[in-house]
Amino acid sequence: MSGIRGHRTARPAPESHPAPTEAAPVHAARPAPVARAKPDARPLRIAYGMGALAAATALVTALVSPPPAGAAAGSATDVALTTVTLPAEPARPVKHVIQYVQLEPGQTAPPNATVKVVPTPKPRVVTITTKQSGAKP
Amino acid sequence: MSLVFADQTVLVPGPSATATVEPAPEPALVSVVTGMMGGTVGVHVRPVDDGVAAAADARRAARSTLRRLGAWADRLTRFTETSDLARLNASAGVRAPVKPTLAAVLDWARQAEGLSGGIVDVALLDARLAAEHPVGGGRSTTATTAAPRLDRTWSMDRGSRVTFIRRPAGLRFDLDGVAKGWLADRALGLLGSFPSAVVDADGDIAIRLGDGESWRFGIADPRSKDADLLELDLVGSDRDGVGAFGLATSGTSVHRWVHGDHATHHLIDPRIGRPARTDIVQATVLAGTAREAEALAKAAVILGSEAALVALSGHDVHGAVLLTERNELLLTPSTTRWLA
Repeated sequence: MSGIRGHRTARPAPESHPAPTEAAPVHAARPAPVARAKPDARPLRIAYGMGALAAATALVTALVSPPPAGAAAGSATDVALTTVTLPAEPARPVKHVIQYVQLEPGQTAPPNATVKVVPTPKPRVVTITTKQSGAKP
Repeated sequence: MSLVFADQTVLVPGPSATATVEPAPEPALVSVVTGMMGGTVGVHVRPVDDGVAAAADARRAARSTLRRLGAWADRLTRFTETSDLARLNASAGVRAPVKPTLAAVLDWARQAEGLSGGIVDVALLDARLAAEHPVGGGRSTTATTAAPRLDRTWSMDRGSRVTFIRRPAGLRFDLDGVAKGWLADRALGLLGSFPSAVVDADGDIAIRLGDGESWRFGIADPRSKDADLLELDLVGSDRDGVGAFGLATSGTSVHRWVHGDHATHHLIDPRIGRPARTDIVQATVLAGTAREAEALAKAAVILGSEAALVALSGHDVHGAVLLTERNELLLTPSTTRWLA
């Protein structure tokens, strides 16, 4: 336990790498290589930039500009409009079928109508009479 | 036919003249009738089906309803000294507690006062007793009472548990004109599980009819015992939204007294503090509830035929039948729909 918490003894530095000493450079006799000239990148960068700018402009224009009139109508091309006159449909009598009409109070049935009287419920044979009360509660 | 009242001291209604129950088509109605409140009270129920068990269930419910109605009536009568109303009238203070049933009826009385334009007034007991037993007049042998008081202002303080009545000291109440209709409606509410039911509180009738169900009701003719002025066939209709009715009658020909050379009756006009001077012998109102019908019928008699027809036109009543002292029978237009 005390070894863990106690002072740790500093290790000595490794001695396998001796300090460098003065010596002659190894490659001092070889001639320096000649640097090759690089092509100028600026024209190509300008060309790429212009192309990107054109593409972005085209994209924005496509998104923002309103659709052409033909596109709204569902057609991409102009269509020659032709007015076609349909032959008049022969007049046919419209037959309204009304089977039952419940007459409100005050209404009368049409002349040819069959009038069915709604059966009124038969009152129960119970007569309960309202009258002036006798003694009061 | 003329009306003769002058030579009679008191006209007493015939016994058990309120309900005539005859055998009915299937399913048979269940009717339980008993004497109560000085008259006849009946409960009539249509069972839910034709079975024996359903009929027994309806009979139990009808009897139970009658018992409850009797218990309520015992709290509201002024003819016993132990009722809640009698205790209130006997209390001396200006602020007196009342129990829930009496509080509910007094609450309705306050509404009925508004409904009738102030004509229905439950604080007129002294005036009524004075009319019945005038000081030093007539053939009455009963002790005389004090003159009608002028200050009849009263109010209710509703607490969470107890309701208090605040009134001038000595002001006494008479629930004539509001209690029986209230009782009939309240009792009918106990029979909600049956398709059709009727509670007849001695002539003030609460009615609920199922769709297409039709029952016949008579309006007693005060001039002829066991005769009807008219009969009404009331029909329940879901289409018209009509299924609940109240039918009540008020008049001057039953509680009527002759003192010396003049006759008087029990319907006090609060505007003069005396029996109303009216040309109506009897008024019957068909309304949505029995308590409304009772209040409006009483108000109609007190107002007189001309003012009554105007007043009734301002209410949503199903019909009204007024019998005048000229033997005229006046019907509001809506009444004709129900004539048998």
